Amino acid sequence: MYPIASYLWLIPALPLAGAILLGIISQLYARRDFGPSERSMGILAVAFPALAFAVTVFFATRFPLGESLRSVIAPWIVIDQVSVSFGFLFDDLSRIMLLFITGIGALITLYSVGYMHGDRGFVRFMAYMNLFLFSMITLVLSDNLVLTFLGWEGVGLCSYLLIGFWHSDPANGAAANKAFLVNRAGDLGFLLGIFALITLAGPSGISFPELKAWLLDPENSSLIQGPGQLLILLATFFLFWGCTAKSAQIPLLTWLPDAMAGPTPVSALIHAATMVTSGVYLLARLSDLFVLSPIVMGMIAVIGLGTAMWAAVAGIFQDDIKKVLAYSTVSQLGFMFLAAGCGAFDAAIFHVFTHAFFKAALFLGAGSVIHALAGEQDLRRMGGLVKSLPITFIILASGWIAIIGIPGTAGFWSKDLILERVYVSGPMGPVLYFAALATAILTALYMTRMMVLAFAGSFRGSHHTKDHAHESPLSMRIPMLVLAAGSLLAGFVWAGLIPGLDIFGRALAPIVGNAQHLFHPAEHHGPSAWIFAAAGTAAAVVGAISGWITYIRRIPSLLGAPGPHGLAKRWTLAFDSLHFVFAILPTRVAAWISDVLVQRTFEGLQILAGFFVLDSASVIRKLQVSSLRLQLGLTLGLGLLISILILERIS
Amino acid sequence: MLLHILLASPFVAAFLLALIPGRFLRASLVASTGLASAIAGFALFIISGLNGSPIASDSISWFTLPGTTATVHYSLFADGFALWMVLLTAILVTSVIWIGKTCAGERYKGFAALVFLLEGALFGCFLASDAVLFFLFFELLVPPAALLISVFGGAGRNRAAILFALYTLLGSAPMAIALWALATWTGTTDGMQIATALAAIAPEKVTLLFFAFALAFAVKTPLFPFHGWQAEAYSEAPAPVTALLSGAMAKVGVFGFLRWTMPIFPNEVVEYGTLFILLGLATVIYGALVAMRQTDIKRILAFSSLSHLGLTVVGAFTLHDGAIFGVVVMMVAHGFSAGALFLLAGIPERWNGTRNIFAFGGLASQSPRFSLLFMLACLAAVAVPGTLGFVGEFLILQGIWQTFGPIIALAAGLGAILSAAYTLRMVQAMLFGKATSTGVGPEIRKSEMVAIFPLIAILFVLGFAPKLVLHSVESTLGQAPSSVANAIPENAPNATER
Repeated sequence: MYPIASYLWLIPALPLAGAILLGIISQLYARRDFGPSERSMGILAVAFPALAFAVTVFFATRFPLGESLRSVIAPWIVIDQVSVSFGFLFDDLSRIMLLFITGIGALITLYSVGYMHGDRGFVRFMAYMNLFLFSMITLVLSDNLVLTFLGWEGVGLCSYLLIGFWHSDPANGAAANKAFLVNRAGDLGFLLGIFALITLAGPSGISFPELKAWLLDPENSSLIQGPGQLLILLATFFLFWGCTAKSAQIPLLTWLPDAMAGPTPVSALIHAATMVTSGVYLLARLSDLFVLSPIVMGMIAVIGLGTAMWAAVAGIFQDDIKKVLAYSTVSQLGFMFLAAGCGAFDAAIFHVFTHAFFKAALFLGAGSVIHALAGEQDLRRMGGLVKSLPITFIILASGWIAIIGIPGTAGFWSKDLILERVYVSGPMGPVLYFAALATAILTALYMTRMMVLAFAGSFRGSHHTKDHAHESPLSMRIPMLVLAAGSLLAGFVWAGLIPGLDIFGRALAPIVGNAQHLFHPAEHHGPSAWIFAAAGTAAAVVGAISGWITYIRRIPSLLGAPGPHGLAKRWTLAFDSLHFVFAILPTRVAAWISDVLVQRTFEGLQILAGFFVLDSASVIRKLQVSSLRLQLGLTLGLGLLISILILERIS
Repeated sequence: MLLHILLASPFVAAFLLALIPGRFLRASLVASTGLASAIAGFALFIISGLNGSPIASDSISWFTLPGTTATVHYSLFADGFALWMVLLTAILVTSVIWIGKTCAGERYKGFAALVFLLEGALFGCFLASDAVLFFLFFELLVPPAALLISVFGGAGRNRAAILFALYTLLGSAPMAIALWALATWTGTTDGMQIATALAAIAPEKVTLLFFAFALAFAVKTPLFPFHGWQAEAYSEAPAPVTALLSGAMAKVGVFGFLRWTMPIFPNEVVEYGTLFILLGLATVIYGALVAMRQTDIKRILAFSSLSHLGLTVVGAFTLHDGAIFGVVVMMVAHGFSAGALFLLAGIPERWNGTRNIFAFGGLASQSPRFSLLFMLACLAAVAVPGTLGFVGEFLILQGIWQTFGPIIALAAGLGAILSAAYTLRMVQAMLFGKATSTGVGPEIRKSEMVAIFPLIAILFVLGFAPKLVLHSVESTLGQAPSSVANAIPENAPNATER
């Protein structure tokens, strides 16, 4: 129908080409004293994502809402039972995801050209960023679970490479390893989920459109309602397990705060705007499957809410500006999962979309602060920056009012929608709603704390850093300003209170509408939308004012150990301790037993046996090994021959 | 005829090499590299001409087994599975021959000749269609391998060589007896004919024979707890030899399970399959756990090999079609990735004279080319999607889920998490962290790059186009229904005569 579909592969291929090209250039210069010109490399690095964005826009404007492009370019793993292809699906969900992934991706790559200025690994960094974009695009553009899994592990790999980018510091390497391993643990869940679907639906279990058709086919309803229930439960459970790692939800969330060891553009792109939201994407993509399993849906809602609350509290305790934002990301992802678990997949994706803008703006703004203060990340050594960094302040302030939900900003529209949908989601709705509203107050509190500590009062760092403080170069300022504008305006694509502004919701209706209808057969009627908007605004204002009052007077002047301590530390690191007790320690004990008790004993016995053989036959040792073989072979062979002959006689 | 030439070529190469006087090092290097590449090219030529049906050579009667009425035939058989193993061996041998001058020095000629002999024995194992012929080649693997370890190895080389020889011998001696008993009872040594004739034999005896066969392959693979020789032999042998032992020779064990044990003993395979599934799982987990605590890079890789090949045995004993495809793919993938990693592991050992991973650091900034290749090989080893290893693991794990359900699949999948854990630990210790010296470090030689890069490139190319492997394997495994009896049909009459 649309012949242009056969060119869909261009979108992932462009950043892949960029990654390969930049990777080769980086290798060519690796052993020289100086790198290639940053200007030309920067142009190359931004050109590929920007072209991918242009191609995406081209495709996105070529066909109306509700229609989709699909193109299968080559077979991949094809045997009788399993058939996986390199296939792409460009529908409304991937249209939305791709637009902001390539758009924000190109902007953040541009920002990093300024941010990474003078770094010896400049080209390598740009190669990784392009490789990341390739993986992320593949993840959302794929038409089947296995190719999505390729992107899924690919983004994890790039995240690993970029967290450990400054690898001469062992702490960064440790953070990178942790991210990769936690994500690997999640990836196993993803794989097992795929297997459950193959068992359930056979060859139709792998590709998204075929799976959807299979699930909606009346012929299969007796299987789905009956004996297939267990497999659906397993599939949704394992896939959700995979999501908890990638999107940093309880219990696999510990890697994300540590991931802040990477350069700040990485935190903005990978650990805030795109990669960590893949879990929400997967839930929306498979919404027709997930709604069939109310148990797992409930689990998703509860885990999402629990993560949102836990991380919001942890956010209050952080002194590192990037850690505040990291916990804030975890918390906002929790909101998205809460929405998905309540059957509001479209609201969850909407929050993914708006969050990408304001969280990227916040991270880039924080990066601008860090850049200005020559690497300082400790909020206790900031203060009064509004005077020296006015542009950065405006950017962070736009992100701040968006995330706490001041009316009209992007965060207001999406958070309001989530809260409203949670309230009407069922008998437990009001309970979840009030807990989520309390979390919204906490959000405003810790974000206001961050703003007060960084910008209010007077500067608390050394004079040296104060003199150094300067605004960022143009290549960093342009992306920040675009994203700041996005955090204020992006919500108007689905402004629920204003009639007509709902293109986002209508676009997603063909993808998730059926599942949402199945989850809520009858429309629950809650209070008027204006009441929810008022309550949400009140939460933001209350949180912000109490944050202002609390922290404007109590700016910590004493610098203790870096990071939280006492109860704050126990709260922050609770899941690290759980991982240690339930996963790391048992593995270490098992490894110790295998190595020290079993393997060494084994080797010791072997040495003993070896002495016996060699000493009793020192003559044999002088002969060649082959003679030794012959002798022993004959002896043993004879022995066994006799025993077999005896056995034969007996029987 | 093609198969006869293929099998004879490594032996001819070894003979030709012997004709060159020892002092012409350069000549023997050029000659052996040329010969090895020619053999690899020939194997590639045969595999690309494989059009769906297996190839069988004409069968030549050789001798009558003493004490029996069975005549041993010299006959060869090749399907996609066997030919991929042959191609894997031939490509690895080419790399090893090319890189070997760094470890063999003056004695290069002897090294190359032994490597060709080992290659010939491996070809024989993969191509033999007569059980006794297979066994002869299976035994012929040991002398060149043991000599390569004991002549060119490290400090503990003699002990490692003897340990290796003893284990293999003790493992295969029962198989010799079993073969003799089989020939006595059935009057034939042809694989397929034995399988049909065995139906008339009392099950208790057959069970005994089954275990005799299985033991030989369990030692060769190896499976826990028959792995005692492995870490020692792999770490003491010079890196290129280890690459061959782990990349190619270890495959004979799994190949033996699939090609010989399963068709001959279908009932026993079903009856005792659980035992081998459990041993395989134990091997997966045990190998990975021990690898996590090693500091010697070659020992890490040795236990990693143990763990990965354990998964192929689990896959084989699921008897699930998809999983068996996965086993073949994973054997090819592991052959190239383990080969590349062992070859790479020898390079920093040459620089610093140690194999302790903590003696290195910061290689990523000091030796960027080496680090890039090492990183890529590690990614292939942990089976990141886009590499061939992923295709293998995916197919095996889904087969395990289909046959044994989620819990066993989960247990086998733990190996994937643990493999990332020990591989990243090694990467972090060697490539990352503070550099041990300042300035530009030593770098991988051009000739080493030429030998190793193709192995890694193959893994990525096949990772995106596994069809090349799956398609040629389909010719024999494709029609295989779940029943084991015809799981690995090698019916000579159906094969085309060449």
